[in-house]
Amino acid sequence: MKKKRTIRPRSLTKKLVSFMIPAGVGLIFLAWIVVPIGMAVLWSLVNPDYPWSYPQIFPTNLSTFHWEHVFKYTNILGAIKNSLIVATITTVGCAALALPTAYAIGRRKLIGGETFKIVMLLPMAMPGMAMAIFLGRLFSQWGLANSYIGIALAHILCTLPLMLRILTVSFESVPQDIIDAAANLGAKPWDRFKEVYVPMIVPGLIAGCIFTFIGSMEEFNLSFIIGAPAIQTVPTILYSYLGYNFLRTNASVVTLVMMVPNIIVLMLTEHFIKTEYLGAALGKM
Amino acid sequence: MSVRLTVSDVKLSYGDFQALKGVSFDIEPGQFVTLLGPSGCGKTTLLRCIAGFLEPQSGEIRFDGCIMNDVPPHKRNTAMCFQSYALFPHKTIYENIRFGLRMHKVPVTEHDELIQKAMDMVGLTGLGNRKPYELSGGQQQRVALARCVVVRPNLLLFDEPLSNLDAKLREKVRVEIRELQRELGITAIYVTHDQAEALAISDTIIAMNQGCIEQIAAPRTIYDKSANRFVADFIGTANLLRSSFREKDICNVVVDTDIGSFTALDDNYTKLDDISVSWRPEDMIPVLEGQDIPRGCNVVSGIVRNSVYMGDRLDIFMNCQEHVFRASVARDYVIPEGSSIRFAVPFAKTRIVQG
Amino acid sequence: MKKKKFEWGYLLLLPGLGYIGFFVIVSAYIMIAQSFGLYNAITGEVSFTLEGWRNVFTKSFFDALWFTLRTSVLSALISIVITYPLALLMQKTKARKWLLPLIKIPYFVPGLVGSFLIVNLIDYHGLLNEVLLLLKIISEPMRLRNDANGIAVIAIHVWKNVPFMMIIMFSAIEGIRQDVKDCARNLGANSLQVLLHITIPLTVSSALVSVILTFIRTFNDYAISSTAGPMNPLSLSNLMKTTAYSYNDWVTAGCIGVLMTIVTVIFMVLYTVLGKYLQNGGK
Repeated sequence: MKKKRTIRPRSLTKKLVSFMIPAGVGLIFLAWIVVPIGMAVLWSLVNPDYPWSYPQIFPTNLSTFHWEHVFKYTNILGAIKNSLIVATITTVGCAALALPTAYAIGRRKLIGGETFKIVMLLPMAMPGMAMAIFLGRLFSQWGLANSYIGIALAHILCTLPLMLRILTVSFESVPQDIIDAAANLGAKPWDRFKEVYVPMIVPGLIAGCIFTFIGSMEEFNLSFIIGAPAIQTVPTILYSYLGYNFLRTNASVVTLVMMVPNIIVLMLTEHFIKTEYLGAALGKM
Repeated sequence: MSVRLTVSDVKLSYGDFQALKGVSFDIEPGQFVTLLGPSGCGKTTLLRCIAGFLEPQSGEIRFDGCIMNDVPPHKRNTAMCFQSYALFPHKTIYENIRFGLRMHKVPVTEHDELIQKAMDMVGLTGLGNRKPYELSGGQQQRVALARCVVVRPNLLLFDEPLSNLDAKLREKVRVEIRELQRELGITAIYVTHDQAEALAISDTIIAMNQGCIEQIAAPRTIYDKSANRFVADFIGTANLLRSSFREKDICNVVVDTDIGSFTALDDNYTKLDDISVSWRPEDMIPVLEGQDIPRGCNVVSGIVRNSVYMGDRLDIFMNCQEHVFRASVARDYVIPEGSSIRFAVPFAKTRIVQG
Repeated sequence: MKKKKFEWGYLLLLPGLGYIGFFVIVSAYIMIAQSFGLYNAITGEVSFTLEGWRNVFTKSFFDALWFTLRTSVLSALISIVITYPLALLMQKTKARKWLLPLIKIPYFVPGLVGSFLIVNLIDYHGLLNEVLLLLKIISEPMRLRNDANGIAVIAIHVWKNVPFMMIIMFSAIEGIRQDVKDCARNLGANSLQVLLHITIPLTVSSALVSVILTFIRTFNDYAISSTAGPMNPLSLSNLMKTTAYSYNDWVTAGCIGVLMTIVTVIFMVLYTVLGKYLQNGGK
C-alpha cells in the first residue's frame, strides 16, 4: 500500500530552500569571519590577572591592559608612523609613475598590447620572498637598505601593476566622443588632458591610491628584508610576535590595529568604487 | 565668418576597406547640406574628415579655398554636434557651453552675455547650474547645440544628432535646428540616414552609397528626378523595373520591360544601357471598372495581393506577373484582396533611372 | 603618403612599465647570477661555480619541496571543493547583495593577520580544540599548529582564498547569459541537466584559473608558513631565506629561488593561457 503523502505546494518548498541556502551560507561566512576576529578581540582584552585558559569558553574578566601595554612599551607607534610614511611616499610615487603609462596604454593605439600585459604580470612571476631577498641585496649595495626610500621603492614595485590596471581601465572608459568634442571646440592636447581626462579619471585615481596605500601598509616580505632592523613597519612588528616569542595578547592587539585599514578600504569599496575597479584590482583579465 | 566648403576627390581606406572612394562637392556659404545614405556609406567618415578627426589618404578639403588637410581639429573652427551629445559630465551646463569660449580665448567679460544668449536661443534659460545627467535627452541635445553655436564657428557639423530622440521630438527639434542655422547664417553639414529628415530641412541633399556620391540636388529634384536606382529606392519608395531602350522623340522616351512598354517624359535623357523605369506609389492613379485610362499615362495592371491601411493612406501591394508593385491611394478606397486592378501612371511621373 | 608622426605613447610607457621591468629583471638577474656564483654583494668577487646546483638537491630541499607542494595543492583543492558547490547553490539568491561584501573581507586581510587569527583558533588552547573537547569528540587537544603536516598553513590559505575564489566563481556563473539557460530549459532540460551541461562546462575554466592562482600564492608564500608552519620541514620560501641569511649560502639560495621561479612561471603561463581561453568565450 502506498503511503499517503501530503504534497506541499511547490512554491513553499522552493521558498524554504531558497531561504535556507543563503541563510546557511550566510551563517557559515559570518562564522568564517566573525569568529576569528572575535577571538582576537577577546584575547586582546584579557585581564592579565585572570588568565584565560581551558576550560573557560570566554575570559572571565576583561581589561584594556594589553592595549595600553602594547602602545606604551612596544614600538607600535613607531611602526605605525613608519608604515604611514612609507605608504605615503609609495602612493605618490606609484601614481606619478602610473599616470603617464596608463594614459598611453588606455588611449593611444600602441602595438604590442600583449607585451604590456606580460610586463604587468612579471612581479607575480617571481616568488615574493625571492624577489625580496635578491632585490634586498641590490638595495644594500646601493645603500638603500634600512631607509624609507628603499622600502618605498620596493613597495612601488608591488603596487604598480594594480595602480596601472585601475588607471588604464579609467582612461579607457573616457568616451572618445567627449575628447573629440573638446578638440572640436578648440582644446589643444594639454587642455584636453587637463580639462577632460583628469577630472574623469579622478575616481579611478582615488581608488588606485587607496588600494596602493593599503597595499603598502600591509606589505611584509620586502619591508622585512629591506627595512629590518632599523625600520619596523606594522606587519614586521606583528611578525615578531608570531615567531618564537608567541605573545598571543600582543599579537592580538597588533592584529586588530592592522585590520583598521582593511575595514576602511572595505567600506570605501562598497560605497564609492565601481565594480570594474574591483575587478581590475582582483586581477581579472 | 561662414565659409565655402570644397571637397576634392577625397579617398579614405581602413586597411582593405575603402570608406570613401573619391568624393567631391562644393558648398556655398550659409547652405544647409545633408549627407544622406544607409549605414556604412561613408557619410560619418566624411564628416569626421571635414572636422579633422580623420585624415584622408588623398584629396583635399578646403575652407574658403584654404587647404585644411594638415590642420588639427582644434584649429579648424568647426563645431560638431555629436549623436551622443558628448557633453562633459563633470561640468555644469553653463561650463559646458563656456568651454569653447575659453578654448578660443574669448575675453572673459564677454562670456556671460554670449552664454545667456545661446541658452535663450535653444530654450534652456535658467538651467545653467544643472549637470548633464539631470537633463532629458532633448534638453541635452539643445545644450550640445548651444555649445556649438556660441563659438560662432565657420562650419556647423551634425552627426545624426536626433537619432536618440523619439519621433515627435525629432520632428520638432529638426525644425528648430534649421531655423537657428538660418538665423545665424553658418554653413551646416548634417549627417543622417533618415530621408524624411533630409527632405524636410535641407537646401541640398548629397546622397551617398558605399563611399561614393550618387546624387547632389535640392530635395524636390532628388525626389522627383532621382538620378539612379539607388537614389530612387532610398529616398521615398519607388517601383522599379529593369528595361531596355526602344526609341526617343522630342519629349518622350520609350523603353521595353517584361510587362510591356513604358513612356517617360524626360528632358535630359542620355543613358542607353543598364536602365530601369521608376515611378512613385503615390503617383499611381487607380482606374476602376468601366473607366477609361487617362491620356498620357502608362498602364500597370495586376491582382491585389494585400492592402495595408496606414492611417493617412491606403497602401496596395499588387502582383503583376512576377513583380510586386506598391501603390498609395486615398484611404477611402475599398479594394478587396484578390481582385484585379489597373493603375495609370502619367508619363510626367515616370522616370528612367540608371541601374 | 603622410609622414609618420613620432608616437609619444611609447615614451610614456617608460615610467610605469619601465620601472616594473627594470626591477624585476634586475632581481631575476641577481638571483640567477647568484645561483652560479657570479654575484657577490659584499666583496664583489665572483667565480663561476656549479657547486650551488650540485648542493641544492639535499634532503631538506626535497622535504621542503614536498611540504610546499602538498600544502599548495591541498589548499587549492580544498578551496575549490568548498567554493564551487557553494557558488552554484547561491546562484539565484537575492541574499548575494549583503553576502558578497562579507565574503570579500578575508581576501583583504593580509597574510600575517590571517595567520594569527586562524592560529589563534586552532592552537592548543584555541576555540576549536576547546569545542571539540567539550563535545567529547577528542580526549585531548590536537596539535594543529607548527605541525609537520602543515594543517594550520592549509587552513589559513583556505580561509583566505575561499572568498577570493567565491568572487571569481560568482562572476563566472553570473556571466552565463540567462537566455542560454532559458533556451536549455525550453528544450527540455531540468535543473540538474542545466547544471551539468551548461553551467559547469562554462565555469570550469574560471574554477581552474582560481585554483592556479591559489596554488601559486600558497607555493610562494613566506609569512604564513613561517609563522604557522613547522620548523621541519620548512616551506621552500622559508628554506631559501634561511639558506641565505642564516647559513650565508647565497649561491644555494639563488638556486632554490630559480627553481621556485620556474615552477611559478609555468603556472603563470597556464593561468594566462586559460585566461585567454576565457576571454575568447571558451572556444
